[in-house]
Amino acid sequence: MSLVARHLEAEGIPTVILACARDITASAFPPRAVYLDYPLGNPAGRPFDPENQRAVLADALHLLETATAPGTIADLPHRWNEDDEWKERVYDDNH
Amino acid sequence: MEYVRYIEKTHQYYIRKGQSGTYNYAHHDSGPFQPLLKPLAESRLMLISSAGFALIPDDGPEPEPFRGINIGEKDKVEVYPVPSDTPPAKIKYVTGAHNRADSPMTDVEAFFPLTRLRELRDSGRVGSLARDFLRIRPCYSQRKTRELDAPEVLRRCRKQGVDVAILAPI
Repeated sequence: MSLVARHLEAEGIPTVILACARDITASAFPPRAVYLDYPLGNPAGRPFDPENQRAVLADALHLLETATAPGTIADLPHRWNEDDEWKERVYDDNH
Repeated sequence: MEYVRYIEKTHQYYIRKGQSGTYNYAHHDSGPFQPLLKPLAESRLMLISSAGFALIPDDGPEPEPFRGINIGEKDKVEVYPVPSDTPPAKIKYVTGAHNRADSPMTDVEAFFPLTRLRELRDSGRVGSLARDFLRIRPCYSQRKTRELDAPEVLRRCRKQGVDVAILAPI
């Protein structure tokens, strides 16, 4: 998706990515991204939590307005849960 | 806070599966930048998703879910319109997720925020929404993304007078 963002941006359309994979996103150097430290599949916020979803989109729009250079990644403060135990299951072959 | 190192984990995953080649993620050290051309309150917004969902037809059977990641074909443009006034209940996630235990994909707003974006339009925070949002099929070919899918996304954005885009990779 970063490649699509780069293409749109090069053709004059400002973009922002909602990213849950910080390293993959940073590697592709997209114009702007907000990074949400959630499991893949939840780029627009926590399921069934409208307030959290509104906060993520508000930050994304704010970044569209305030970023001044390409490759800007804003790290959002939200946590999926307190102990980050979900990270142990990433690429666990049993899931 | 330690973020997940997906690139490294992907590499290890393929080694465990007996594949020797590493997956090459896109890598750039610089890139384009287009400042906003007008205020968001006057801008038309596009949403682009790579989530593997289907629209439930008004008549006919619901799409069947299946395991596994649904990866695009080599030389085929795979960009699909999703009307921005689609009721969220008409969207059903059908393909695999990397982490099913933590991403049930049962709330559309968490990966394709139709209702949240309509709220932003209705409040005046953004001027308008594209008539058709877009879904693109995930693809392992950077060449295909660059040469086929991205130009098609651009064409559809221009056709609808889109000013800014939010991209939600899965």
